[in-house]
Amino acid sequence: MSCRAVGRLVAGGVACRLGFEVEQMEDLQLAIEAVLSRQAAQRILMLELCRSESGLEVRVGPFAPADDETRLRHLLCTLVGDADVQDSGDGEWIVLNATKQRALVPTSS
Amino acid sequence: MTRVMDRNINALLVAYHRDGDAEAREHLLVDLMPLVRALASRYAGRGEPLEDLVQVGALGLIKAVDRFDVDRGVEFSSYAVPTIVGEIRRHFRDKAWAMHVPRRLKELSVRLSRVLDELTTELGRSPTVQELAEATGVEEEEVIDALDSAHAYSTRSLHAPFDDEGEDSLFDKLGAEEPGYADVEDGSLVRAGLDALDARERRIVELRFFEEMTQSQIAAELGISQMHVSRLLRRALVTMRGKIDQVMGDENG
Repeated sequence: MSCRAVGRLVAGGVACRLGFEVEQMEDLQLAIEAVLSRQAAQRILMLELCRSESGLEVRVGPFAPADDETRLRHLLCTLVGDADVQDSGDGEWIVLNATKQRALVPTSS
Repeated sequence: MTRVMDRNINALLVAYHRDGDAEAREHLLVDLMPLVRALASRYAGRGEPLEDLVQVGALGLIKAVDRFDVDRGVEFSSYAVPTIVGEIRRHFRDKAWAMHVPRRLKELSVRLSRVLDELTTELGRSPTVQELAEATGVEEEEVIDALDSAHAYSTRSLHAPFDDEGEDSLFDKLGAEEPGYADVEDGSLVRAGLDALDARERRIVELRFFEEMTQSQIAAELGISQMHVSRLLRRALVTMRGKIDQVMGDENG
């Protein structure tokens, strides 16, 4: 099983437990697959899932620096509403803030 | 296949078909197995074990050997290759789903797709897995399995009609070209990725990422189910990633 499939499964399972709408859950899974297709900085990639007020905060990393930030940010922000690329000492970490319900008024991206 | 080999094979075929030489048939099947392996390996890595594909391909070979008409003056290889490949493809079309996805789950998946759209309309938002489970009367785990099975190996042709029910292709529903992706900084890469998609996938990606419509809005716009949008979207993103990686690899290498 690829790490994309594992990430997809885990995130989907947790999102479901937290009462995510199906569409939001699927969008989160798409986002995680996109993130996990990046080049890892080390042998081990970490996927951290943290319950947040609006849904789920996801941190994935460390990744090797890549020049895909604008493209990735556009993709991720459309999918989960809020995404950030953070530079830590060990490489880049992607932070996603996934909401469990569709915002009634779309937030500006 | 070389000419010399073809000649031997022809001799064996004649021996089998005209004289009923069973040993010749056996020889043919053994001699041609490398061809089956080569063809099967083209389809490896799509979720079916290579050995299974070789077995299915071997069935195709047997059919080709048994049905070949030695009097028609056609090269055997030009008859055998499509027969073997056809058998392998049929295996994917008919059996790949059923092998990985139990029938019950497949049926649930079809039912869920309908319930998902009904609930979305009813609630004015996408339902949760729990709501889907209640509406269909199955466990949440089964709902998750069935939702995910919708993403299992797709048995649909890339150029199949647009919808499960209708016969329209997306070409009937296409709107204007969306220039929005030029706004993304590396627009040329995105464009390359989009170019790797077929028309319906491209349209769905444009609606989702450049018009920022939700999956259910896209489903309503195009008159297909949300599950289908989700499936096409995922496949499109995989294709685009592959293309973008390739372009970037070409630039760097």
